Amino acid sequence: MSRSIPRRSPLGAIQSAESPAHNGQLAERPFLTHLNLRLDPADATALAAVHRVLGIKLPLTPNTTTAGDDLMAIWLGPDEWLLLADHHQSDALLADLQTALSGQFASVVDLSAGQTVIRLSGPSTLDVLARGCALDLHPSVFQPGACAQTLLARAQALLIAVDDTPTIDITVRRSFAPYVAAWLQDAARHFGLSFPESNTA
Amino acid sequence: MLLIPCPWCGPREDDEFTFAGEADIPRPADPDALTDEQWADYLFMRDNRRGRHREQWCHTAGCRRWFIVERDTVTNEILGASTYGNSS
Amino acid sequence: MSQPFRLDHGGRIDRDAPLQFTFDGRPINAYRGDTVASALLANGVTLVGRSFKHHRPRGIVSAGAEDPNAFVQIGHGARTLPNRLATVTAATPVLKVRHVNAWPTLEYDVMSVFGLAAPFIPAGFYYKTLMWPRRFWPLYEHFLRHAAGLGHAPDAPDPDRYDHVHAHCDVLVVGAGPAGLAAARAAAHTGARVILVDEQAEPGGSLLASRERVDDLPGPDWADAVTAELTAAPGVTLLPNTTAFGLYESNLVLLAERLITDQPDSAGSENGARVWRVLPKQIVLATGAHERPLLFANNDRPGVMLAGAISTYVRRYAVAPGSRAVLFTNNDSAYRTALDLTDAGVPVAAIADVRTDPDGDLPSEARAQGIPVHPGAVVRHAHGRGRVAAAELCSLDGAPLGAIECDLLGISGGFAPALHLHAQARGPSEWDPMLAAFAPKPGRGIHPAGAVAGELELAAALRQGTQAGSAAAAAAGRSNGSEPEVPRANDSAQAPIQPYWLPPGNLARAKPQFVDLHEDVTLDDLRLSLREGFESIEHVKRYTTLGMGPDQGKLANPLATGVIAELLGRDPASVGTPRHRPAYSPVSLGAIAGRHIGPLADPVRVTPMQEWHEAAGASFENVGQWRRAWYYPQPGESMHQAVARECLAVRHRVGILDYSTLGKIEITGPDAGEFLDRVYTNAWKRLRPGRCRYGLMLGEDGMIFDDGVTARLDDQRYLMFTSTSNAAPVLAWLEQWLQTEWPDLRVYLTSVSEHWSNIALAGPRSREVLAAAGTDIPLARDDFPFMTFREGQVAGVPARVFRISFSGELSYEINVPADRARHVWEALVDAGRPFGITPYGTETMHVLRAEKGFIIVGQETDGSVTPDDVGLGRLLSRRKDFLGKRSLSRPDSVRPDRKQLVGLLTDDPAQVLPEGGHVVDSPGPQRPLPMRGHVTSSYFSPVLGRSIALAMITGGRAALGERLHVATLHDDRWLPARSCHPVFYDPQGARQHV
Repeated sequence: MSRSIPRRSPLGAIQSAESPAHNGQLAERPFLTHLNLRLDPADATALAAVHRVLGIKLPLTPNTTTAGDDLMAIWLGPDEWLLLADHHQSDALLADLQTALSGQFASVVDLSAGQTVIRLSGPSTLDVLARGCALDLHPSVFQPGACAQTLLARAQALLIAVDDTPTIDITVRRSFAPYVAAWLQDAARHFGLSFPESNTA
Repeated sequence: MLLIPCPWCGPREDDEFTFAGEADIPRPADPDALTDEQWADYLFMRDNRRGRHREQWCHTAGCRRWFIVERDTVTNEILGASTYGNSS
Repeated sequence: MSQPFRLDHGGRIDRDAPLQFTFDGRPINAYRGDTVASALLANGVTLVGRSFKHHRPRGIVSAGAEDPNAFVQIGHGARTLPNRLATVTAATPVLKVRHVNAWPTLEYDVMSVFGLAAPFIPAGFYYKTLMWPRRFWPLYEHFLRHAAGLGHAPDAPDPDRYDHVHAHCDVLVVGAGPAGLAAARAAAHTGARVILVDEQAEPGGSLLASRERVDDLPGPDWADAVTAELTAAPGVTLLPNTTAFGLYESNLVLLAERLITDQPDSAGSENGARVWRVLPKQIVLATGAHERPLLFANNDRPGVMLAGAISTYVRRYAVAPGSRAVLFTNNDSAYRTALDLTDAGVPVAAIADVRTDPDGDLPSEARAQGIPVHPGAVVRHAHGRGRVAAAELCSLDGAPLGAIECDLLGISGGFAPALHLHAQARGPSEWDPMLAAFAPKPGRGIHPAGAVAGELELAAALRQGTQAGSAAAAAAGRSNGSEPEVPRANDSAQAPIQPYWLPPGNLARAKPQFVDLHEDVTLDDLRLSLREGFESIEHVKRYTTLGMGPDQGKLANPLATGVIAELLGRDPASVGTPRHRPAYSPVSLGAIAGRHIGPLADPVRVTPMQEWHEAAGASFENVGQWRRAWYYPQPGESMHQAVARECLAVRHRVGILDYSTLGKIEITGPDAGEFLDRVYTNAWKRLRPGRCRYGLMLGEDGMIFDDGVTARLDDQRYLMFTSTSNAAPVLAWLEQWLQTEWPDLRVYLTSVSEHWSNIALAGPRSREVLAAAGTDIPLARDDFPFMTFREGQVAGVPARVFRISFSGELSYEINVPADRARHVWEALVDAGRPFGITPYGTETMHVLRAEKGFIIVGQETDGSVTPDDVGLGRLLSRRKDFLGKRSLSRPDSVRPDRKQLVGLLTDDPAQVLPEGGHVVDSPGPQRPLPMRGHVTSSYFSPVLGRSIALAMITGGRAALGERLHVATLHDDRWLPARSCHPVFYDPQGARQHV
C-alpha cells in the first residue's frame, strides 16, 4: 500500500511513474536513495560486508567518492559515508546493509526523505557556484571523483564533482532546499539558467 | 578570516568551523572527589595564553570532526593541527 | 560646449567616441577613455566641491584614488551614489554628476561663512564648545550634520543587484603599473593562475603617461602589448576598474569591481559593482606610491595639483589642467612634469626647488628647455580665491623672490608608498630615509614591488616586478625552470629628494596651510593638538580628525608624519602613521551586501506542510531560521480569538500540530545506553525497547541546556528529540564528548531531523482520529500506553508513533518520512473532520504547555537555572555521574534564595501579566525595590477562563500563596498576584493517560 502514496520532493516534484528525467543545466534530482553509513574503517569485516552488498569499496581518502552502477559512496568523515543510489531502493538497500552488518558496531540510517540533490551542469557551473561557495572548484583542484562538504551561500551543502562538463551535484537538507534553489536561481540568472517549472517550491 | 587546517578536509574558511576554547582540559575522572575549588578550576579557569595556544575546533559544516589547532594568539598564525588520538 | 583645455593631439582618449554627461546639470563634453575629472578639466571646470568644515572652494588635486577633494555624487533617486571619486570614475554618457557639500550651489555656498570664521573653529572646537549646555547638543548636532554633508544617501531601496564572487589563484597582483604588469607576466610565464587588478579603467598605471621607452616601445605601447599578452594567456584574469580595498588575515583580499554600464535604470540588473573575495596563495603588491603635497599658505586653492597628476592629465588624457604653470618640488620628478607641460605648449613660468643644487639629468633637461629654475626656493603663498592666480616665491631664508602669475601650481613633496593594504593586515613596514616615507617589508606571502617598495625608477621597478612575479609563482609551487626576460627601460637616474615638512622660519606661521584637505586639518590644528598633549599620531588623528575622511588621509597622513616629527623634534620613524583599516576606497553598502538581501538574506527553513499552512491562512512566526505556523485565524478572528478556539479544541476535541522542526538524533551502538547515562541526568540503560523517557541535559556548570524525550528503538538504538532551536548545538555537544573525552564508547550519532516529519495529534478524540486515518497499530490504552512508541503504518505510510504529550492531553506524535508527511497530514485532517479536528500553531502549543507547567528551555531557563530550580530535581540520578552533576552541589547551586519556578495568578483574572515583568513583594516608596524574580511565560488560559503565568521567584516554592506585585513594562503600574503551584490544569496528569 505504501508504494501508492506519491512522494513529494522539497522542490515541489511529485513522484510518479511517468516523471520525466530532467536534462537541463539546473534541476532537482528528486527521490534518490540517501543512506548514512557509519563504521570503523579499521574494521575489515565490516568493510568487506559493505563491499559485498554494494559491489564497490567505500572511499577511505577524505573528500573522494567511489561509484558503481546506479550507486555512489561519498566520504563524509573518517568513519562516515553517504550512499547515493539512483533509484528509490532505500528499503531494500537499507535492509541488505543492516543484515550484512548485524552484530557489528556500525550504523545505517535512511535519510532519503531528509535531503535532496540539485544538479548544476554546463559551462557556467563553476561561475554560478563561485557566487556562493568559498572553495576552489577549479578543474585542476576539484575533479570528478572529488566531493566536499562546505557552505553554499548560507546553507551547508555537499558538492560532488560528477563529470568534467562540468557537472556538480549539490546535496542539501530538505528544509534548506527552497532557500538554496532560490539562491541558485538568482545567481544563475546572469548565465541564462533557471530551474524547470516542476521545481516551483 | 582565518584559514583553519582541518586534518581531514584541508584548509577551510573559519565560518565552516565551531570553536570551543582551550584544549587539553580533561574531565576529572571522579568529580565527586574534587573540592569545590578544584571543580571550579576545571569549569571556569582558562590560561588565556599569549602566544602558542592549543584549542578545540570542530569542522561543523564539513566532516563534523573535533580536532586541536595550535595558534599564536598574538599573530593569529596557525602553527599546526592534530587529531584526537582515537578518532582515526 | 567646447573643450577649451583639450590638447589637439595625443592622449589615450578615443576622439572618435565623443560623449556627454552632466555636472550639476551642465553638459560636459568628453571622450571615451576620459575620467569625470579629466573631462571636467578639459571643459575648464576647476571648482568641484567645497571643503568639509570651512566650505572653502576646492579643485581636483590628483589623477587617482588619493584625491581628497574630487568626491562627487553620481546618479539620482534610488541609484545615486555618494562619495565617488571623479578621478577614477569613467566618463559615460549616462552619468549625472553633482558636487557634494555645498548649498545652494557650488559658486554661492551659504556655509562658506565657516571659512571666514575659520580662525575661530580650531580642531577640537566641537568637543569643547558644543558640549555646553549639554542639553543643546541635539540642536547643535542637527545643524552640524546638515552643514557637514558628505553627499546624499539614496531615498529609496536600491533596485540594483550586486554580485559577489569567490576566486582563487596562485598569484594575485595588485596594481597594473610597470611593476605589476611585469610581475603578472613573469608569474603567468610559469603557468600559474594569476589575477591582476587595477583601479584604473585600463592597465598601465604610470606607463600610460610616461615619457620613457620600454623594450624600445613607448611606455603606453609596451603596457598595451603586455596587456594583450596577458589577456590571451590561459589562467590569467585581468580586472580593470577594480580596487583591492581590503587585505585580511590568511591574505584574503576583497576587490570592488566597478561595472561600467551605458544602460541607465535597468531595474534588477547586475549593476554598479561586484565584490570579489580572492584567496590567493601569494600576493604581489604593486600598488605604487602617492605623491606628497607641500605646505604653504592657501595650498588648497583650486589649481594647486600634484605634479605627477599634471603629467597624467597632459599625456594620458590630452588635457592641459591650466594655461601657465609654476612647479614647487623637493625632488626630480616635477622636472618631468615641466617637460610634459612644455611639450604640450603650456608655459612653465618657474620651478621652485627646495634643493640648493638640483643637477640631475631631468633638471638639466628642463634648464636646457629654458625653464626658469629657482634652487633653494619655496612657494610661500598661493594668491587667488576661486583659483590660484599667482605663486609667491621666496628663498629658504625668507628672502622674497616675487609673485609669479600662474593658474596651475604643481607640487611634489616626494612619494610615499601606498602600503595601505599591506598595513591593513598588520604587515610590517619600516622608515626608508631615501624616500622619507614608510615602505612595506616583504613576508607572509606578500611580495612588494615597484614604487610601493620604494623603487621609483622605471627600469628598476620593471626588474623588481619581474623578480617578484617569479618568486611569488615559485612560492605558490609554480615554476617552469626558465627565467623570464626583464623588460628594459631607458629612464635616467634620479637625484635624492630633500625632505621638506615645515616651511622654514616664520613661513611656518602663515595661515592657512592645509595638511588634510578633506578634513580641513591645518598646520595650526596639528600644533594645537601637540600643545594640548595629544602627541601620539593616533591621538592627533582623533583630536583633529586627520585622515578620517573617505579619502582615508592618503595624501595627508604621510605628510603629517613628517610635520609632527619636526614639530616635536623627533625622528619620523618613531612618529609612525595612523593605523590603516579597510576600506582603501569607499565601497557601496549594496556591493558589500551582495545577494544576501531580501528573501536571500538568510535561509528560511520550512516543513513539508508549509504550503498547506499557507493555504489554511496561517500566520507565521520565525523560530531561528524556521518559519512555523503560529496560529490559524479564521476570517474576522483576532489572534486572541483564534488561539482561544485552538486551545479549547485540543482540550475538548482534537487538534493537529506540525512539530517537524524538533531535532532528532539516532544514537546507535553497544554503548548507546551508557552514553545517554552520561549526558542525561536520569538513568537510561534499563529503559526497555519500545518505551520513551523525558530527559534533562545539563552543561558541566549544572545548568539546564536542553530537554526532550528519548525513545529506545531497539537494543542498540535510541532516538533523541531535541528542542527546535537546540538541534544543531546538541548534536555538536554530544559529538564533542564522544570524540574528545569518550572515544572508547562505541556510539554513532546521526541527525535524522529532516528525514522524519513530526505531526502531533492531541486531544481526547485523537485516538479516534488516528484510527479513522487508518493504522495497523493497536491503539487501545493498554496495547499502546503513555510513554511508549510503536512502528507501523499510518495512512499507508511507514510511521513511528510516540505516545507522548506536550499538552497534557491524550496525544500521539506521528513521525513519517518527510516526502510523504503532507499526505499523512491531509489524511489525518480529513479523518478528523467528523471529530472537529483543529490545526493549531505554536502559540496554542505554548498556552497548553504553560497550563501544564511544562518548561520551555530558553523561556523558563536562561543558562542559570538548575533542574531543582524548575522543580525537576526528581530527574537527578544519585546512582551515577552525569555531565553537570558535580556543579549541583557547588555552594551557589544550593543557595536557599535561588529563583524557583512558581505559578502566578493575578487578582484580576482578565489581566495578562507582561512576560519579562519584574516581580517584587510590594511596590513601596523604597528605591531600589528588592527584586524577587521575573515572569517567564504569561497567557490567557481559555480552558481556565483566566490568565496564568509562570515566574522564577527567589525562595518561591516554600512560600506558595504569597502576595507579589509585577511591574508593567511601559506604564508605571503594579499588578497584584498570588503565587501558586506551577501546574494549573489537571495536576494529577490523568488526561494524558486515558
